[in-house]
Amino acid sequence: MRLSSNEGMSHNGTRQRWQPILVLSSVLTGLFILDLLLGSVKIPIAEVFKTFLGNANSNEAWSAIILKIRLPRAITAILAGAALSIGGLQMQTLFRNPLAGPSILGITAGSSLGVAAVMLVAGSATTAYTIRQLGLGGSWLIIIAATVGAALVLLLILGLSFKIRDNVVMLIVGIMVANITIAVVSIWQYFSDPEQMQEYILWTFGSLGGVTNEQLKVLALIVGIGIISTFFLSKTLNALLLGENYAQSMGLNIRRSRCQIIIVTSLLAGSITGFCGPIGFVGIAVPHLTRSFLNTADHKILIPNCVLIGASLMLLCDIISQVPGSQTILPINAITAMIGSPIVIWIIVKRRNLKASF
Amino acid sequence: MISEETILTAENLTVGYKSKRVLSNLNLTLKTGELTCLLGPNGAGKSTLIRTLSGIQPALEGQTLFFEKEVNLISKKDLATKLSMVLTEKANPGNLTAFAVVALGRFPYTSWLGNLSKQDTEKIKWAMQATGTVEFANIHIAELSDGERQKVMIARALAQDTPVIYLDEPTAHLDLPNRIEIFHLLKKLASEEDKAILLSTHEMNMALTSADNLWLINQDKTISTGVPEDLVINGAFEKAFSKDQMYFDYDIGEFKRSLKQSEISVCLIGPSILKKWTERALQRNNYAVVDELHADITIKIDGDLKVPTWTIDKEATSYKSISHLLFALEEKMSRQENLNPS
Amino acid sequence: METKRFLRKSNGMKKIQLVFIVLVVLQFSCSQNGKKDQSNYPDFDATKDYFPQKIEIDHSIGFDVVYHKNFKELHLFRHYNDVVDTVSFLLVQRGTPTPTNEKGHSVIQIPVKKIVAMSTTHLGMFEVLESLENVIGIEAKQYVSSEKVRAMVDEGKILEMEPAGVLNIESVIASEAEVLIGVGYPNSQNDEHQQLINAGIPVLLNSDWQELNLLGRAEWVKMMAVLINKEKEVNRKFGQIEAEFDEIIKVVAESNVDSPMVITGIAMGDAWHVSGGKSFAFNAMKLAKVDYPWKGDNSTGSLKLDFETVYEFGLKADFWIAPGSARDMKGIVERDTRYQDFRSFKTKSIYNITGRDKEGGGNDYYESGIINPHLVLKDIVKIFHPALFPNHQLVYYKQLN
Repeated sequence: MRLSSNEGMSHNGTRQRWQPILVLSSVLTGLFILDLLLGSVKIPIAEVFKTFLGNANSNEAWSAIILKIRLPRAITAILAGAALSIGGLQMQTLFRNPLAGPSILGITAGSSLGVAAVMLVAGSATTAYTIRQLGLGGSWLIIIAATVGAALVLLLILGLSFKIRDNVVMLIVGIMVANITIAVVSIWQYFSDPEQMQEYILWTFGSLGGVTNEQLKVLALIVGIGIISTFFLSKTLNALLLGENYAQSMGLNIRRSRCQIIIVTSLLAGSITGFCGPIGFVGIAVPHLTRSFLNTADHKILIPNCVLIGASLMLLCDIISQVPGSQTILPINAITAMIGSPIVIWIIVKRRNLKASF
Repeated sequence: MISEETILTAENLTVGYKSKRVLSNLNLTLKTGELTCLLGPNGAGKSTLIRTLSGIQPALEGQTLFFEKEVNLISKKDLATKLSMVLTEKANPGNLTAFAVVALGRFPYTSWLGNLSKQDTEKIKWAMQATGTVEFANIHIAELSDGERQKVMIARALAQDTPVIYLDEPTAHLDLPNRIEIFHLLKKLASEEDKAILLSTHEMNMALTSADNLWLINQDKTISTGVPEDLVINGAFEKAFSKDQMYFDYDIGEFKRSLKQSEISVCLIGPSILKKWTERALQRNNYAVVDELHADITIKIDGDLKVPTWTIDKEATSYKSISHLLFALEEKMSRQENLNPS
Repeated sequence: METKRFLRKSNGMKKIQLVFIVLVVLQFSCSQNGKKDQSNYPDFDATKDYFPQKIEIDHSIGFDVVYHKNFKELHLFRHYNDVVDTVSFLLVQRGTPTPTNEKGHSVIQIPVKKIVAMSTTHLGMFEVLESLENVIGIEAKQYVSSEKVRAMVDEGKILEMEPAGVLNIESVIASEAEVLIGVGYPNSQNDEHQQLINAGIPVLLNSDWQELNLLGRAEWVKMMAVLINKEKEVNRKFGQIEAEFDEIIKVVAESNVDSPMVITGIAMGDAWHVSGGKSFAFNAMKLAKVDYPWKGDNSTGSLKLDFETVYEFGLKADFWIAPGSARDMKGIVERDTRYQDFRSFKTKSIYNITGRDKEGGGNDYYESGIINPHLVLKDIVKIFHPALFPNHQLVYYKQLN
């Protein structure tokens, strides 16, 4: 057995470590380009490339569509896929639970609460008028509302996490908090107009196309910070693989680590939910996919690969939701669930690592 | 044994919970180079004591000094370089290779990203060699047997390079050969690597055999300490475990259940090993084994372990196995009863 | 000889024939019921035509009226896909006998004096007929634009029957309303309506929203007229409206204007609903000579498309009508900054039906607007071809600023 000093935890050779990243990066690039090429408006492939090379298009509308509609949506898909996937990875490691996802602590439910507060409660004509007078409006209002909602739930969870020693208890508390917010929202729905309810329900379908280039800058910044922070937490996450008791005996400050992981996950999941609405399933499925294919539990390897696989999967779902060839569009949430579930089933049945990982 | 250094002292320690005192008035020491066994039945408070001695749970009374510092005042990070643990729980990081698990032991020493230095890798190699787990290095933990996995966990604790190691019932899920091996390994590590190893268990035999120092949990919730044989001889051992209908056989070194009065007495003549095992069988079947003078029946054993024979009272027939012997005795007894109905 | 044969017929046969004769006599006397009931209606003249003025329906597809001497049959049609669901009422002149009602239709005594009108579309019609005194109940004052009606509510002459979103059955019954006019959506409040019917208050569900053109919707004023015997007024007023309407169409047809391109709706999430090619909204705009990307489409409702598709047209469309709930240019930008690329945005050619819309209150487009189809049409033509009506100021539509 040869041990070289840089071999790290999963005991893979350096060449082995870079191979999957290269493959996945190519897949991601391919899907990214495909997402730009496909859409309900038929734009010749040559024209797409022309746009990126800075040359003028024969049809001005086409470059507007590519640069202002397709490009931001593709980038949003990448950010959403990446953020939700590593959010889910962290939650699965922290709670040692294969069913955990980024929304498990109720952060996304908190976002829904904030958005519902604006759309359902404040959405009646008089209050909407008042809000407009205050200068807030439109999509930024929704984003802020979602962020505030998520932040409130986050503070509650963090506060509770200092009193609670056991992670299983923490998990249950998170689920209960999520349920409470959902209950509050359904009461609001019950008492609202059909138009308000419709607007809110539309939001819950999730949408990758609503993020404009300016908003994208903010989202990319937040998600970037989240991804880098997660990578910095690799060592902590690896230690947690043996369970909290062992991790503590190795010197890990459990309370502080839990706090850090929760905050980073909230940043990732909360920002995506704020800009795109709740998007489910990707956060649960992709970590399993990644663990299974890379056959490792080392977070230094899992995190970058999760980012790539998550982004690719989301691009794929986006392409499918546009139903290439037709002019309709399907809600992204339905597609992620429909694509994600068979994947997880396939992993569990064909490759037995899932059970062994937990 | 190189040097013996006392690194842990517990003074007037009482451990437990607000609602319940589990163990009290404890005065304990741990020395390097020794394997100390904490012996007591299930539920006696072994885990509680270990938690208190590692600073996880506060003591109700008294103090624990670790390298002359009160253990609660040592930072967790600092403590991790002085104390490592092996727990009963079955850690399940299935996707990790054995090497990866052992490498986790270097946690207190690696960089912020967890990269291993040359020194780290050396320590890991050494830990795996010392525990005989090098062959598993690239195998996933989930594929190892229980015994192999526990050895890997010990290697991990070793890799953490601490002068003190606590093991909380590390052999609970293991079968006898593995248990023997683990105890032996720990004894070796304690003396060869100059570590202070504290091991809690409820297995008396292993503790008596392997421990340099025994912490015996008494029935009055205190602890007696000492060399195991001293605790046997002064009766502490028997007192700690005694129950109705049980007695300690000082000869064999085992607890036995008192048998009812036997009626037939037998004496045995022959080689000592065969004699010993025949005695066990006879006692189980309610025969008292006594000396020649007081015996009703004499059984002679000839031959050796490979080809033993038994004969009863100078009769012609010889028996090739204990089961034949027992059967014959039965017959003889019932014949005698028929002849002498009394 | 026949007599002999007759007398020789069996007793059984005779019995049957006797029964037959008795039945005929009974029927005869029953048909004289009118005459018998005449005693209850001493002033009733069976030969008189109680409704010399009659309405005719030229545009609406949602209702029909059949006149009889002393009663009218009112048929309401709800068009669900290919099935037409008909509900009928017998409107009987007060003081005259109710005709035979084999089908068991609801009977309403006319002229109706106490009406509960649940939709603002009805109120505009009653106001035009100068018959607001017949309205004793409305849904809620908050959404009413008419000053007159609001005053009447304040004076207690009109009650609010659904101020909080749920119909107050007891108030309706206590008001002794003679009929409740509601809006018929497929599942609208069936239980509450049934309770009212059981309490003896007929419920008329009109579906003017199903009409696909401006005059068709406006013509429902004739249904209101029929309830209160104001055929003469309605024919005069509606005739005027029709004439002005046709005049506007003529002006457009004779002009040489180009057809500017227009888009409708606004994106909600990833989807954008535009008006269908045979929808009410487009039918109205069609009269004003416009070009529409989906004019060939056959849906009577809205078309669900994705953002990209409509965006492509939006970039070059000259006008943008009815962008959802956006009221000003700032609102447009807030919903999505990419709308700024639209030509209609750059030329400030975005219009919404907010000309008489009170925030937090009602939109008069859905009140007086229904009965002023000529003004609505003029608004539309003015938007697309301002030169054709230089003196007209927009009433129901407003340019977004």
